[in-house]
Amino acid sequence: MGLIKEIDYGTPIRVAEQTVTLTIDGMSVTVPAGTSVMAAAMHAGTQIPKLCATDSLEPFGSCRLCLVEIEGRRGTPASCTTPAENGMVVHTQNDKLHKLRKGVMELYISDHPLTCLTCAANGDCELQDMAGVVGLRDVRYGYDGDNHVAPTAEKYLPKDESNPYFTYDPSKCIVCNRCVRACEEVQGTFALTIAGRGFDSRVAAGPTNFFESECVSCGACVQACPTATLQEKSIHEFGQPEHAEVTTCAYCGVGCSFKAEMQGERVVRMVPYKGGKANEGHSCVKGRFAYGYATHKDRITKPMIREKITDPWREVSWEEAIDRAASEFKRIQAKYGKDSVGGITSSRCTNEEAYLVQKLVRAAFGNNNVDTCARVCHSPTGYGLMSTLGTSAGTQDFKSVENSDVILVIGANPTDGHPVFGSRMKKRLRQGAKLIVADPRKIDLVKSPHIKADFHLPLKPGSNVAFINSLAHVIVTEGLIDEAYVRERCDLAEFESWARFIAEERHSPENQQQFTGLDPEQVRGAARLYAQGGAAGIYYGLGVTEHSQGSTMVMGMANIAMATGNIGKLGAGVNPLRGQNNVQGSCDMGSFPHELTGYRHVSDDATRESFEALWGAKLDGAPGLRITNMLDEAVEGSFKGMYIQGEDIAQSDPDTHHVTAGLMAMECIVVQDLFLNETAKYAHVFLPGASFLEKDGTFTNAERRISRVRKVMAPMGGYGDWEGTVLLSNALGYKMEYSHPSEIMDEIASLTPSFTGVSYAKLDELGSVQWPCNEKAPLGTPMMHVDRFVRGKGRFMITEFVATEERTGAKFPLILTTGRILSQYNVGAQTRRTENSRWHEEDVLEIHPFDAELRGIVDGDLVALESRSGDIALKARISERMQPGVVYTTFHHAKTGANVITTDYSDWATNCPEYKVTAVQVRRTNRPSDWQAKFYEEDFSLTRIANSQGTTLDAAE
Amino acid sequence: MSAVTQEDKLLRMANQIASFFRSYPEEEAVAGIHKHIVAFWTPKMVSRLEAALPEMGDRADTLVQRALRGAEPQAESPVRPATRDPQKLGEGASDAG
Repeated sequence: MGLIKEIDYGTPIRVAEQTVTLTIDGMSVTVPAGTSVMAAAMHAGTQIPKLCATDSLEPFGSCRLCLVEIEGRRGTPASCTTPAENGMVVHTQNDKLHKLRKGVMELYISDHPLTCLTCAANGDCELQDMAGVVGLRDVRYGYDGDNHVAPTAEKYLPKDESNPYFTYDPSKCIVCNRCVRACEEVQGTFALTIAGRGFDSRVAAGPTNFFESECVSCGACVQACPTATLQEKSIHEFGQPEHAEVTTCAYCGVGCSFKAEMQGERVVRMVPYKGGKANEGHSCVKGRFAYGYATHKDRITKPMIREKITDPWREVSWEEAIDRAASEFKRIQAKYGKDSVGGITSSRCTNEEAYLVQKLVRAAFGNNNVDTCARVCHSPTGYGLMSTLGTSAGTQDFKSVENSDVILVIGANPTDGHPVFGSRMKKRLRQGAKLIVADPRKIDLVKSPHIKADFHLPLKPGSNVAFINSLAHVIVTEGLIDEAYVRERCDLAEFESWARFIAEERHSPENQQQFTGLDPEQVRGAARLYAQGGAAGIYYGLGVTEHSQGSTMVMGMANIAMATGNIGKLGAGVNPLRGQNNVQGSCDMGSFPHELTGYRHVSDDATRESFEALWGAKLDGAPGLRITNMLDEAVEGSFKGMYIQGEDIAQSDPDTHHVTAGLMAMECIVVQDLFLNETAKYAHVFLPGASFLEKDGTFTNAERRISRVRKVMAPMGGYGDWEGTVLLSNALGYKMEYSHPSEIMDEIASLTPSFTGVSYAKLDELGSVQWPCNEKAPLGTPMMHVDRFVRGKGRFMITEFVATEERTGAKFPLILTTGRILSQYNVGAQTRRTENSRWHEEDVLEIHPFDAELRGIVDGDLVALESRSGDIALKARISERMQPGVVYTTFHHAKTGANVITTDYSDWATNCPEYKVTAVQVRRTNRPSDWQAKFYEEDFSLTRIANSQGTTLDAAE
Repeated sequence: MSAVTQEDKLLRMANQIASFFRSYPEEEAVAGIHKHIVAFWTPKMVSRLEAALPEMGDRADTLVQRALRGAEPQAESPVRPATRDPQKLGEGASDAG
């Protein structure tokens, strides 16, 4: 096993129906029209020397190293900027070209430090490679470099080490512009430029250092740099990696492919993999750099047990911990009945692991009390899209956005929450696609470099359905329906019923303004653009789902997409941007209490019988408890035990007081996790979890793409999470036997019609596949509903707006909405244990200047945030991104307790919590809240670990 | 305000479900509410709300009362069950999507 070297064609791979055939160094080569001579040569196996070119960037033609001779043309054109043409005869190597290239290299090297042996890029430096390729043996201009090599030189600039993950060393810069172009073309942030002229030319992150600049640390510049000018600090520290494995990021639902570049069992760096179809070689600060949590000192690597949650934890063997868990679950079921226990599968663990946990619950516990994190994020997506289109998932692949003419973003913040897809979306927008943003906040996408939303609709939180109805009203009443599409593809009777409903005058933007707060003309303009602007894609996030009408809103979006013919074609669709890395997969794997794998209801006899036959267990045909129901029944005293794998409901779920009351009321909670998380404070058995680097498996991303997770180091706790579940199941008396996760996937495939074609062998062969992958679609399904909807005819649903019961009033006059930011992830358990916290050390409350002034609040003040559920204190940040009357915070830091504030209101269909609408009051304060004071105390008292001497330590010590 | 008792909570959930289906013809709405509750609630939750309904008076939506207290509705729910047989579907389709 060695490093994985991807071919660099020098310029982007073009896709065209037409091809051209040319001759390069005597060899005939045929390539798509528009391909550069450089890339055509690479197709033929000839690498033309280059420095400023790389195939993730458009050609620039500055380094003058890739010069070639073309018969019939004067001079020596740059092969990167010269398109291949039919009949062209190209020579890439001759004495003249050799001399020219050598001369160019002499100039570069005359102003570059010759410290190769001690340079971090030694062995991975394109400048070094090119010096070798052109046969550079001496430099006529000397080696001192009066520009920026020596610290004593007039133009020398010191290294910028401000970024926690990479360094910028100006002395090694060859001003190839690759970093600047990567920041522009790939990431779309435009944080970098070349400042100065001639010898003064420098890469600059604005008038400041990298950390203070607009740089988002996506790593694209580091990736593009051909020298050690921009270099990972981990490479400085450890040196070059020696082998690599392709794996899948464990952060958001984009599911980027990475090469884990290793030295033995140490990750030296994570490099985005060009062959990964979800990210095509791009990355964000989390996946690229924030992997240090996997080996953080806070990792708990030994199983632990305790009698009471106030006891210190006691480290024990796996055998003892599993025996304790199993005997407790058996005791509880014997005493309180079989339905008194349940489990939660993890949206951060693999498909195979989620599958095993739900199998354990159904077959070993003998009930259907299993749920997953999707309950609190995208469960309305499943319900809403299933009802209208017939499938519980997004309709397109990410690549589809490259064909969008109009992009409608609703309740999502892709540049922060799904940054790699956000960059892809921004690229399309810079090419001219139109943009509509419906969001209470002025998210970055509304106005960013070279992008300005055609419509920003800052609707009031809680008014989504009123908004989508008004949009639909315009589409119907102004004759913007794609009638032919609707007639052919949709249920006509349902359409007509919906059209009559939505055409009622009460749904007009003018009449809905009282709820949405939106300028009716803006809504009308946005509706016309969406319906008439060409291929229109909807991209949405938790701002849609986490409402009391989340499912209705999803149906509303599907309605307008069907009405305008925007499903089943490139660039269109209804696309959820899913939160966690495997939240799509955990749903697919039967993690909901009412359905088995592939979204089949437990009451369906044929489905259930197929599982019973293979599993050798009798299954319950009635739905089990959702997370919220489990906690309700725990508080009441009838639900007593839980197996929680890789979730932290004490921090992530709403109404913390209620969640912790439920957890404290249980007699046995088994937590399997990397860290002693907030939920573990209430646990009795702790099983060490394994990071994504420590196990084999698969993740499924937001575009239904199943990708491999590959083990690159031994599990620090001794077992992968799937192995822990197997041990527990066996101890419970239900036999599970697997020697590798591939066998679990084979079982999934044998039971799930949409997965019958999925196997590790296929994933190894294709890289990834999008389900459905079966006999009818052996290579997977990039786009759904192409000629017909999965459910047959598309079904329009009536979407009456019903305002949430959570109301503002004199006591709680503001609306709190919660979300996430770029550098942190979900409950922060991973990112808080990395340098990412330097960008976001604490959760803050964003508040509009008007609301702040009214309350005498200035930026940085400690403020009390109070709702009907509870109160916390946090610092205020004055922000005009907010609209007056709306405040915003994140939930990344446990000590803040953002969910102490949120309520138990939830979506009518799925019980997805209404995180996005909480009536609150804000006032200045000078102390933490009572809940926070208790948190600080319990952060010690409930996390103590007894050491071998019998004394106890705080887990954080 | 948050619901206080478990029955209150179940009632709130049921009334919320009714608020969605109310837009449909009454028989369909009743069927929709009934089928939704049976599909997603545990039998214990269903029977608990059924038992509490007589005491709840007009706090319970009339559609909820019909959905849970009457005979099993015969009309079809506006939300159709998921397709189960992938063989009947077209290229690239399946039960799940």
